[in-house]
Amino acid sequence: MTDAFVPYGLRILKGIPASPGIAIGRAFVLSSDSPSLQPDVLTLEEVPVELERFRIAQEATTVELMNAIELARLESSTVSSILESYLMIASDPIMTNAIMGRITTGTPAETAVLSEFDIHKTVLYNARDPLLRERVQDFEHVMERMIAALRNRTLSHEQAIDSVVVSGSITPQDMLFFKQLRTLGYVTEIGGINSHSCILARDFGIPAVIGLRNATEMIQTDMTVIVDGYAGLLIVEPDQATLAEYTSKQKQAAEYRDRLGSLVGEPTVTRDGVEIVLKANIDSPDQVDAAIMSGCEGIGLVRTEMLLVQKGRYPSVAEQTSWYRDIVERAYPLPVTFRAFDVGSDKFREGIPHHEENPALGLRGIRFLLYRPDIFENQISAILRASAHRNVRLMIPMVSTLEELDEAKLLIEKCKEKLRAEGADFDPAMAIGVMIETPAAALMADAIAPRVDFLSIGTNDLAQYTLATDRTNELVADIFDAMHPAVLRLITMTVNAAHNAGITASVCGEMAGHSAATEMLVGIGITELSVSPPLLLELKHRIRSAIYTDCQVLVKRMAKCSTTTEVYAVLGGPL
Amino acid sequence: MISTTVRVMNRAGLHTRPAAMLVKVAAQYSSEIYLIRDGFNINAKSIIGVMTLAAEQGCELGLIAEGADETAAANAIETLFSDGFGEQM
Repeated sequence: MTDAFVPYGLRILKGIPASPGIAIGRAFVLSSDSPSLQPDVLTLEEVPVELERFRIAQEATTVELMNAIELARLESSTVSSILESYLMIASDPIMTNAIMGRITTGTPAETAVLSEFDIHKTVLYNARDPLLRERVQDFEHVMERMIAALRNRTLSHEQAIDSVVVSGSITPQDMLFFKQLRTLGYVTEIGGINSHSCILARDFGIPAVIGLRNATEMIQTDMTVIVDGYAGLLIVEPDQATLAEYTSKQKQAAEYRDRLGSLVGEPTVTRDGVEIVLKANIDSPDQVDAAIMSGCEGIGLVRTEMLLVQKGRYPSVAEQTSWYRDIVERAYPLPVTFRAFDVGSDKFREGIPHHEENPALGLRGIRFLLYRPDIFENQISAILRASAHRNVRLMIPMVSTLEELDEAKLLIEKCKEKLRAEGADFDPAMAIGVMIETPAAALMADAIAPRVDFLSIGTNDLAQYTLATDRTNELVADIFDAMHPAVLRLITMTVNAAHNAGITASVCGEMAGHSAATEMLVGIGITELSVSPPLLLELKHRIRSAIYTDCQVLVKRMAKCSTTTEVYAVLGGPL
Repeated sequence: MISTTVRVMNRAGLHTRPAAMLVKVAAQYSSEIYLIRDGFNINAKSIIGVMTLAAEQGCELGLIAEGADETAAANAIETLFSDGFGEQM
């Protein structure tokens, strides 16, 4: 683990933000004394004793799980079904027989359990599907519990009361117990962002940072820590200034929620009068109402691929049309921007001819849509049919060459011709935009801008491709940072190109929701921001507190930065 | 003996939860039930066996049921697969 940056001489560790919020408190470190194999062999007399020891441990594990399931039924149904599968693993007949077989031939219980689980873990590790590979954790959780039970040691969850839990990984059942104990936050060394525990943390509204390598060694119980679940930071033994800063951040967060409601009808304008258009990112029609109630001025991004995930196939033109229309009509007269299916083999495999070693650099976004013009044309026709109210815009994802854009535009014209021939009502001037999310598109933004009606910057993908970093990979997550000067330069290039062409540039990535990033984006000249509905009011509040000329000064200072650390120093600390 | 094939339809593959559903259903029948992948034969009543098939979306598996209630067992398991284990497909 490297210290990402040290602006105030404190220790700030950078991991992956897994659940938003701020937690301040004492650390409770759950060190998993890693179970190791014992080489010794049992004598004949020891075998029955060892078998009995295993039986008792297995029973203790299943009883613990059954208690957790009871608890889970009250808290969350998704967890209870996960725990039920743990219970099945713990009492699996084949596993039990194999372990008992090993003990009978002289292997001590711990070793027998570890070796049996290891065999099965290896098989899963080698699975091609990353989702299945993440399930190795499920085996590990059950195995750890069984080993703990063999050593007659159960976790004392009580010690974690009112504290930040630091652990190698956290099982869903731990999560439930900790929730009862008013756990403030979670920090783990491993774990995917979509692990059961992370999903639970978000459900429970408990801040969490994952992928902090060596966290259990670097942090000791009773140290004071701050978990910043927005930025994925863990601040160890903060000084008074930082502590005060985060305490007020935390208090503000609570006050915000109370106060923000009054902002719904207010304009989104900086203190010196620069107007910013605030829009919402949504995944389905039923989110439109919430977005409008939060005071957005349009839907800046509809992730249409969610329709595919929902249906599990490519829906017909009619099905798509009614889904798009539903959104458009709920939003009317506000504008709606549909992003064409942004699929890749990591998200939705159907239609992609074979397994890709590297989906992030593979057949995805516009590349896939041009590879399957039949699918793309169906979608274009459906979006055009939904455009009769003249409030629809279409955005093309993952563009890296001008030819892709030209080809897409040809297909759009072809679809319009067809609809004309059918006498269908649609908007012949429907705005077409490009999503700027590859370095190539940002570098060529001056050539792209004159050919389209708007540009939209996807900051997450842009940062990922610019920094060659998978942000969900904990081994490199500390490199991923949308505030890297290289990313900021590409954003600035894109905005300038849009302005020169007389079109708008918006940001619809996660960065738009970052606190200090807002002022920077406004200073760069972004006039439109799109975020998920729960963030809208907070963002509006931030813009209404900002002064445009100050934002410009900030950007000028940032333009001189050559490292992420310097950028943060200019912004006055981590986001 | 009934021998047929099933296909994994749900997006996330045969991960923990669908595996648990499968085992629960299989356990209701007295027949021996096996799933086969790449010549690798596992007992459908063992969640660990099912999970270690590492069966991802689109993958085809052999299904064998043998015993007094083999027809009902095979039908029930085929339905689970074709419904994608009640998940998003």
